[in-house]
Amino acid sequence: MLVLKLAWRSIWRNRTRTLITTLGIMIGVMMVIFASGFAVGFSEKMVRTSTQSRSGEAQLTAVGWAKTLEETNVMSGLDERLALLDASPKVQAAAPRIVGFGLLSIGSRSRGVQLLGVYPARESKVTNWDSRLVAGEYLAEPGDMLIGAKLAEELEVEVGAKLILTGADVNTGEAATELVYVRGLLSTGDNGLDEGAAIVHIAQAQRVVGLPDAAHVIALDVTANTLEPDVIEADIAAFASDTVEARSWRQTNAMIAEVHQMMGAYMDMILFMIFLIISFGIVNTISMSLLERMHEFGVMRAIGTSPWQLAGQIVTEAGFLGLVGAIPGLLAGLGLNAYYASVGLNFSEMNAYGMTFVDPIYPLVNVPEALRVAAIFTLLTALAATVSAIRVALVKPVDAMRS
Amino acid sequence: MSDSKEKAEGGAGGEVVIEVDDVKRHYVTGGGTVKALDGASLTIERGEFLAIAGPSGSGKSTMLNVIGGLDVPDSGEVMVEGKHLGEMRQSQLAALRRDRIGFIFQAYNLNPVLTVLENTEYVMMLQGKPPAERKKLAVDVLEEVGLGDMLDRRPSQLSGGQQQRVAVARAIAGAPAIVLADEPTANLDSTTGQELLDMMERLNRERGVTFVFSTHDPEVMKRASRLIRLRDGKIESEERRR
Repeated sequence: MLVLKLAWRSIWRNRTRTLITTLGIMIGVMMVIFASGFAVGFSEKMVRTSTQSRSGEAQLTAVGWAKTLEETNVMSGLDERLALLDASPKVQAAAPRIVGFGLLSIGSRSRGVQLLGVYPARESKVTNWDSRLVAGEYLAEPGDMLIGAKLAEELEVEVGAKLILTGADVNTGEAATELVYVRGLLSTGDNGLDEGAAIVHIAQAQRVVGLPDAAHVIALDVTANTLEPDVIEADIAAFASDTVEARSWRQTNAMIAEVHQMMGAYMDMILFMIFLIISFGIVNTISMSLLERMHEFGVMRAIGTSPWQLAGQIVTEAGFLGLVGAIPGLLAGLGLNAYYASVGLNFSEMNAYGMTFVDPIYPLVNVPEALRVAAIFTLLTALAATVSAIRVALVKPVDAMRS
Repeated sequence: MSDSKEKAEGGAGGEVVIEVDDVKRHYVTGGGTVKALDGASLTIERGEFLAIAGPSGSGKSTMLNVIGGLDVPDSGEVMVEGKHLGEMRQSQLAALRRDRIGFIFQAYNLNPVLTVLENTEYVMMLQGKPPAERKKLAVDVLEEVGLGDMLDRRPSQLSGGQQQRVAVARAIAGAPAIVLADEPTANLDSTTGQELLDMMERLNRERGVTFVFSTHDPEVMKRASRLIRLRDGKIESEERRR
């Protein structure tokens, strides 16, 4: 207790110096906590954007389809499979899709598109397209089509426009055409979808590609938490068979999954880089303080303090210095995260990993993570003092007292 | 131990607690080599109230430093309570000072951020005494030196004499066998100095603590049971008073 009292009071002997050092630590802790909260919010947003705008949380496909996108490689027994999925408590919604290629034309303008044939009612439970409309309405009547607002801009069409959708029968290679009407314009944040996809009723897509009653993909909304892909994969494993693959978003959106997984390591790297910058100030302050107090340390050694006890005393002081900076930094960082978690940070112009962040990003308020950051800064501050402390502790008492 | 002709012997037949044998300590400075101790030998018995006198630079403080293991002689041997200091590691020397040797300095050297009570408790804390026990002992010793009503004051709130009393309390609170006092009255007026010496004499008498002073003060020399004079790092004379 006396050691702690001595350490605590010693750091306040030069208030200005202590306050400047702790201010540096405080800003560092605050920055890392905010950056960490933002990164997690960003990462989660990315995962949710990718799953809600296109992939779903999991997918069932015919074995090998995901690698080749071979149009003839469709799933068999679609009705039985849907019945099974609809009855499963692990699955909240299942949406079969046809995935093919087509050409959208109006007048002299045309664009190649990815053709997505869907069941509108089922699809609205897996993807968020019905809430991502910037104009018009969700799919209703046969012949309705949703396209991205960006594609609409390129084709110079608006809601209500009539276009020709041309596809090729996958079996015969013969061209098939359908009339489609722009029912709604989407802005999902998935650049691929917003710039190059046409979403129509599944029956119409099946006619265009010549695959009646078939589906390439069944996109799933599962009961498990989106951010727990291990659980998702365990839950959907039962739906896999010799002919059907069951994959979570971690497998279907590998790049997003990798970024999400690496976020923790990125943040630790940022933490150490910020601390490295601050540590120059900390080491400098501590060294100055130790030099000024060399005589006092000599006296402490003279009256019986061992070198290691003295080093421990100095490291304890540095730990307090770290704590005095880290606690307000912790509160400020959490406060900043809480504020932006309520108002959001607008990054609507930012493109990353094939996505545009159409919604604000909400940093995560993660108290355990913030405590971890504050604790690491405190420990690192103590660690930064260790070398100086050992050097001081090993000075011969008589030499220290002469200082 | 060699039988140097300069060796100052305790000679009263008591138990020897300190032996300094042919110790040399030379410093190289800008102006050449300073022979702070140049073959000095000395034995001190338990319970002595011994003063080492001499002009500035005669080696008094260096003698105290080598006895306390704060400085290492270039040659010669120092033994405290039968232990060869030259064979001890820094941590062992620290433990010896903590448990067996108290220090009193000319400039008091109290820790400015600790109170009177905490300064007095500090050595006992190093000794590992439980807080309640060390507090009781510290209060007792502070009452003994007349500071029982100033427990919570900081050193900066005390006069020089009071600070030196705290230093004495700190030095004896850990129940050492030996107190090394480096010119303890140098910064005090004569009345305060006399009071402090009265107190240390009493502690010497009542507790049996061996006191070794380095001093210029005639009052300290007058009261010493034995007076050793140093000059140029050598023992010049020895005078037994009682």
